[in-house]
Amino acid sequence: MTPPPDFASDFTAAAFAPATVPASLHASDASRNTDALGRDFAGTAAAIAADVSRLVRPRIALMVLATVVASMWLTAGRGVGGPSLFWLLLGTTLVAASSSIANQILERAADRLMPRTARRPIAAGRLSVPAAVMLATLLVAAGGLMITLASGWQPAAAALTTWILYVAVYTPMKMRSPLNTAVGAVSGALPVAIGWLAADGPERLAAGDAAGTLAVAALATVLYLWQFPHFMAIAWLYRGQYAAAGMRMLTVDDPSGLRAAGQALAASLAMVPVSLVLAVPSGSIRLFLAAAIASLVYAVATVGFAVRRDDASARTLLFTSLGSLLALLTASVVFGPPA
Amino acid sequence: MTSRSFNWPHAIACLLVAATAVLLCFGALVTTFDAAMAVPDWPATYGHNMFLFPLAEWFYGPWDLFLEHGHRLLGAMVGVVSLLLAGVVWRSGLSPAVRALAAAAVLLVVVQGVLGGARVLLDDKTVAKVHACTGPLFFAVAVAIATLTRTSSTYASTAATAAVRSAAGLVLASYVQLVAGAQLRHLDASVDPSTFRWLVAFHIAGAVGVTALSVAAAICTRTGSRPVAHRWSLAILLLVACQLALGVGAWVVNWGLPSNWLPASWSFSDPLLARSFWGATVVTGHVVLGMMILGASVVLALSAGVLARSAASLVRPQQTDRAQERAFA
Repeated sequence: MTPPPDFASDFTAAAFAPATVPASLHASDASRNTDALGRDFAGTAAAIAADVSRLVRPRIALMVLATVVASMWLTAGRGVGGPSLFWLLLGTTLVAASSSIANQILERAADRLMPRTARRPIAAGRLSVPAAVMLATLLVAAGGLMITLASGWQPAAAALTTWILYVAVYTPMKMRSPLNTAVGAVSGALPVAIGWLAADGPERLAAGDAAGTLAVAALATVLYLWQFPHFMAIAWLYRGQYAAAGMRMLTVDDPSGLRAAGQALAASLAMVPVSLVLAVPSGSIRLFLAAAIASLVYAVATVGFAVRRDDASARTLLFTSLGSLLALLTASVVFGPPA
Repeated sequence: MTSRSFNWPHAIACLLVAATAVLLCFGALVTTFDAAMAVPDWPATYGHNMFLFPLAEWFYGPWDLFLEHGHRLLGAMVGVVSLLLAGVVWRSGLSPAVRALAAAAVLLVVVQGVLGGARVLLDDKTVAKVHACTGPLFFAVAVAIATLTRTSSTYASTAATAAVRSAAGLVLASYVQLVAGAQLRHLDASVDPSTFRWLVAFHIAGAVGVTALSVAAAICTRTGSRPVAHRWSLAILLLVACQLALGVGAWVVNWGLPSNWLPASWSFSDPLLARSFWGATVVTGHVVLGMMILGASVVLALSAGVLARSAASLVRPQQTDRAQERAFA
């Protein structure tokens, strides 16, 4: 097995290490910007767009934004909107993008060893580490400032806490302990706090509006629990690559997949009642049933993975995880705003 | 297996199933008699520590106080048994899947306790619905643990696809029925008639689905090498037949004799009838039997081979460790 990259150095030292592409990965594949068919399109607008996409991972950013909006919606209902929402979401996007870049700076050595991530611009050497550090710093500063100006210092502090937890705790932990998912899931659930704080959640709670806060707490818990089956499916599908890169995923430590399946199963079952709490502020029967069905379908897919533990069931679980989360968030927004 | 020691995980899991069944009966009665707010504080009971509330006041006090306080005490007991089970399962070195279910049971019982408290403190019907849906889920998990901690020879090594699908579908459908039933049991006065009628139609459609799936499960398990599964499927058929009769009875008790194919409004035709002995028995029995169907479906799903492919790794001790072997002796 390839020895794990040295993560003993701190963020700055790691960030300024030379970004060389090792001979272990085919240089012609990794350092060039190629499409899915292997055609070289370096220098074109499409190449730049592909690099930006790999760098900031827009799908994750989109999920963070959806979480913030759903959280605000559950807290404040139809009072959500206006220019401040736009700036809040833009600021959150920038912080999310920054955390993705910082993650790729820290993991560039491991990324080079995995075909799934070897084409990332920092790992492939198309973006230098100093430039990436500068970009990440600028984005997190600008994002934090935007959130502060739009919604106050508390949501900004929540966003920065998420950034620190993701970059400084979760990312290094992936090389050291299979508990990384339990920690990383916290950073995945924390954007809920951004929305809650931006929608004056503490003030509403102090004024006696506990239902909104209960639903937001449920959303945070749902997001926390949701990540276990989701990431266990990913960890199973890419277990070979993770092992090659020295990442301590549960599926690497226990190749049978039983421990990963067990964690996924426990989390998906616990997620069922917690997701139902989303319907509390509105009392919506439609939201209640939608949450029940979405979480049950997710639990069934997790049971399928726990029983079979093969690539097909992991892929099914992965797609079901995305569908069920989308359904839950959509139902929360459509049916769930408090009166 | 070389050792024939007592199977503690299975015994405690069976105790958990039994205690949960009683707890669910109390919970169903609490809803039937609208007794949830009989004790307005939580976790205390009228200012007393829940466990130190005077027995005389509990036994000889009002009926709704007896139900609600009894429900709380039973809930606490089920929580303790869940923790005990998790500890024993962990120490016994059972497979990660069984451990995960034990961990899920602990998570669920904690969530359920918090929901019960929130239902009282917020006096919120939707929280009551969530509480009503979490109970059966917890029961299903307890049944699964009890089933899986039996001897591994119960489980076949190959899966019969049609039987497995119908059994898994039955688990899902019977749980969705309980979710829909919880909506009907905790209806708010402000609900509009169309939503109510839609909900009743959903519940009736679910009943048709459960009936069809139970028939399918009985047919699919008729042939093959799993007589245990077939026996469970027949038991479920019987339970479903009783449940249909109780469903008609619950309809009459709650909404009177049907004059149309769906009732026009949610209000009880005769609340006194609903709280009379027979009325309460029919309505509560319908809920409890629904939970029993769910539990039996879980056993059927497991014995029909849902876990068959990995039964060896899920049920059998992973190592030849004596402590692990004892757990399945």
